[in-house]
Amino acid sequence: MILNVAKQSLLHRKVSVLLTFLALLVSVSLLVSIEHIRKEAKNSFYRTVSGVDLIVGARTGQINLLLSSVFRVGANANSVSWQSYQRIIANPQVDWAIPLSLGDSHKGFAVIGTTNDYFEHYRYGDKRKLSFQTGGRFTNSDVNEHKQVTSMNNHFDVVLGADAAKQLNYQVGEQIIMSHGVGKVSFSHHAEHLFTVVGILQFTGTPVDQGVHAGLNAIESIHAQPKTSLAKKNRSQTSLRTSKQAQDHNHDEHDEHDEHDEYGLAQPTQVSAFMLGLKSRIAVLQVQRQVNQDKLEPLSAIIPGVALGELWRLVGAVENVLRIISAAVLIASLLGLSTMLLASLRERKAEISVLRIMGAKPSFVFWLLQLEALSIALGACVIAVVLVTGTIFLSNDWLLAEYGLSLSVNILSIHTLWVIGAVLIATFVIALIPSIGAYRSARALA
Amino acid sequence: MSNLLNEAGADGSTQPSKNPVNTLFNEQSPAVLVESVVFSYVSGKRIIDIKKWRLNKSEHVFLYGPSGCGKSTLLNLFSGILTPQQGSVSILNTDITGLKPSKRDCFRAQHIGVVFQQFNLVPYLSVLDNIRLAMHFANDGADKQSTDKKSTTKQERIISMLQALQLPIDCIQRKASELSVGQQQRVAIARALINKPDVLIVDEPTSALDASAKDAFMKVLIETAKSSNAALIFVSHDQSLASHFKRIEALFDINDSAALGPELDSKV
Repeated sequence: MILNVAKQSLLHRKVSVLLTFLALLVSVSLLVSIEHIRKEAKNSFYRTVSGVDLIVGARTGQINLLLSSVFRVGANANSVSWQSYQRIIANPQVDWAIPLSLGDSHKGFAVIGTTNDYFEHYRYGDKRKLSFQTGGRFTNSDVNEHKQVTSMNNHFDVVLGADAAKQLNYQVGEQIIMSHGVGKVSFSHHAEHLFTVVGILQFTGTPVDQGVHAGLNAIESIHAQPKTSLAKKNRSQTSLRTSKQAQDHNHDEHDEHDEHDEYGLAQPTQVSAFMLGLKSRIAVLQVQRQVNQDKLEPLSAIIPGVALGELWRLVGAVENVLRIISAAVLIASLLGLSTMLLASLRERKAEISVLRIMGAKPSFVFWLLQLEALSIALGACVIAVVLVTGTIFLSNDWLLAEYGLSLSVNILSIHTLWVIGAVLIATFVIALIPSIGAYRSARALA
Repeated sequence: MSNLLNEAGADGSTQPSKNPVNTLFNEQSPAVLVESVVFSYVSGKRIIDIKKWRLNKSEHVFLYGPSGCGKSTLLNLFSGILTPQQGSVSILNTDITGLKPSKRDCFRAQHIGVVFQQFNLVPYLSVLDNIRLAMHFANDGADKQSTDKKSTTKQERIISMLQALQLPIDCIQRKASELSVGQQQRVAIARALINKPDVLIVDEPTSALDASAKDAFMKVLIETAKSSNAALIFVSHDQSLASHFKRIEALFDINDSAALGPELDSKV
């Protein structure tokens, strides 16, 4: 019965109820979407890398190293020498290692020089392994990459992340040209180095999707510049060729690049960073200390989880500001709701006295007003969830294409329910003002 | 105003009771019994001071009360919305002043019907919902008459009640605020009588009506009150309405505080 009375009462005040409802809808939508995006961002952030015990690079801050090695943002100017790399992975505690050579790009996508260990040991999310949509791993390099076996015909293999493949529209088997340096516009095209796409990874929702993975040896060889001939270098920097032309000239060019042999193509001289998996997690701190105190080369070892946490705290300040703003908007709209009910109280005096004379308890009047407030708030919450879900659903493709953001459509997590619960509790508390007013006037009625 | 009939209650309108509750009491047991009631508002002067006043079952009384003699206050005491500082108000031998507030609200819903001057209905509810709401409150506590409160019989009772009050049946779904004042007042009677109250309190119900509507309203009111066996307390300053009643009393005859003079009354 009280439900029906509340419903009719709200319908009776359509306009002011609708406006209050819209104000609440906007603020709840804001709150829900901010919370959802925050949670999703945090999730995908922490999901970026897992199962890696240590990341080692040249001495730098832990956030710098994390950004360059995992997020491919910025680059560490210094590298780790091949000798140090070999020395550290020789540690009996080390189970596996993924060497990373960073700093190159292909049409705006980061090029990662690595080995097949990358596909074997890299984990993201809940310790999930990388898997292939099509194709497979590098074929022309030995799996035990520490001793390189290079294809001498100057063809290198490349494995693309899901986004990179999609946006560049590359298929397995396609031949591409790599450029040197980071950025979309590169001045030195190593046209003589043709790469063949051998595999495309499954979508992971991590920076791996934007990666162009090539063999460590391949990166090494395109970097290997002739010390003896600066002119040659200059020429190769200015040469802009299409894939077709490059193919035509491929063989001749390679003949000129005898410096590759000089450099010992099979042997990389340095790596930008490397990821380590240890046999026992207990050894993490011990190995970290050993690396940090390495006497021969200044190195840094970071624990990814710790570094991610620190980075998130930096980013987290922004999301807290957003949260505070949306909470303030919510409180403003709830006060609006309370004001609406309070203002209607005067015109409801007669109604309250009728209810009393019919035998309504003062508590009936109290709950009538609470019910009206709560149903407006609940309605706003439900519509807000529908609205936000719909918006995410419709904009998902665009977000993915534009920002590489993949938001889960299911926003009804425990977390969202908490937010809605908090909104309803706040509504109850703020609606106490008019409800107690109504209760009092019902009691004091004469 | 003369005091034609005293508390002996020799009025001819008493009819054999259909209400099973009534059979528990003899003819002389009062519907309303007021004893030594004193009431004043907080930090105000004494407004009500009644030594003793009684109303028999099914008896109709016209209380003449010009404005300013504690009329509304007295009616609120009868209906248990206000409680006196001293003394007791008993309805059907139940001392409502001694009841807990929530019990009193429930008792009011079940045993007392009230019709005001105006604003008797929740404006945004339909006629049907207004009456249903009154039934809901009466059923809230005790489940007296629960057997005949099934929704189908409910609807039938409401319709027959509205018919008795000469209201068009199609008004049942209309909002109370859409009806004319005369219709609203008749719906108010239906709402007040739907729970078969033992006492019907009516306060200036005709002040918003024109002369012809007034007469029609009074006829309908007296008849339905009679047929539902309720004791009727009718309060008005309009002496022309007294002709409908056998027992007629002046409010300041029973209220010693009012006898001091209306001009001293601060709150009515």
